[in-house]
Amino acid sequence: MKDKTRLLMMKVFGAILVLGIVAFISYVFVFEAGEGISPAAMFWLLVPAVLIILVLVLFLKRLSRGVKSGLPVEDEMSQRIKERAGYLATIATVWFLVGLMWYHMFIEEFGFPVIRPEHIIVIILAFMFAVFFGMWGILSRKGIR
Amino acid sequence: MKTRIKELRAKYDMTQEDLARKVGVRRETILFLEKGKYNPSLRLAHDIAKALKAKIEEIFTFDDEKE
Repeated sequence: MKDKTRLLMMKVFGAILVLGIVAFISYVFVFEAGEGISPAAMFWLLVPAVLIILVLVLFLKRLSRGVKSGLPVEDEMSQRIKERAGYLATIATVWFLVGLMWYHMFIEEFGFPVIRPEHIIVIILAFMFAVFFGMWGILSRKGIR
Repeated sequence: MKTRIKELRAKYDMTQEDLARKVGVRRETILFLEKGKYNPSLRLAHDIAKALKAKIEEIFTFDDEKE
C-alpha cells in the first residue's frame, strides 16, 4: 500500500475516532445530564477525551510531515514496536481478566459492588487500549531490541 | 550494540533524514540505531552499509566483540 494511501486511511480512522469521542461525550451531557453530572465526572470525561484528540492530531501532523518529505509512514521498527505493544497488551489483559474473575468470585463474600456486564466490556476494552497505547508510547521512546 | 552511523553520516554530509530516505525508513529509526536503541534487520543493516559505503561489520559492533 502506498504511503499516501496509508496516511489517508489513518486520517479517516482518526476522524472516525474523534467523531466517536465527541458523540459519546455529547450523549452523556445531553441524555444523562438530567440525572446530574458531578464536576469530578465531567473532569474525568473531558480531560482524557481532549488529551486523546490532541495526541492523535499531533501524531498525524508529524506523520504527514514525514510523508511529504519522502519518508515512509511505517517501517520495520514501527511495526516491531506495534507488535510488541500488542503482545504486552494481550498478556496484561489476560491477567486483568483473571483478576476480574477473582473479583466476581468474592463479590458476595466481601460485599464488593456488582459491575454490570456492559460496563465490564467497556472496562476490559479501555484497559486493553490503555495498555496498548501506553506501551506503544513507551517503546517509541525507549526503543526496542 | 554500537554503531558508527553518525560518524559516517557526517563524513558524507548526510542528515538523518537523508539517510532515512535513502534506505526507506523513518527518521526515528536512524535516530534509534545511532543511540543503540534498536537492532536492525539484516536487510536494513545491508542497505545502511551500502548507503554509507562501508561494510556492515565496520558500522555495527556488539559489546562482546570488544573482549
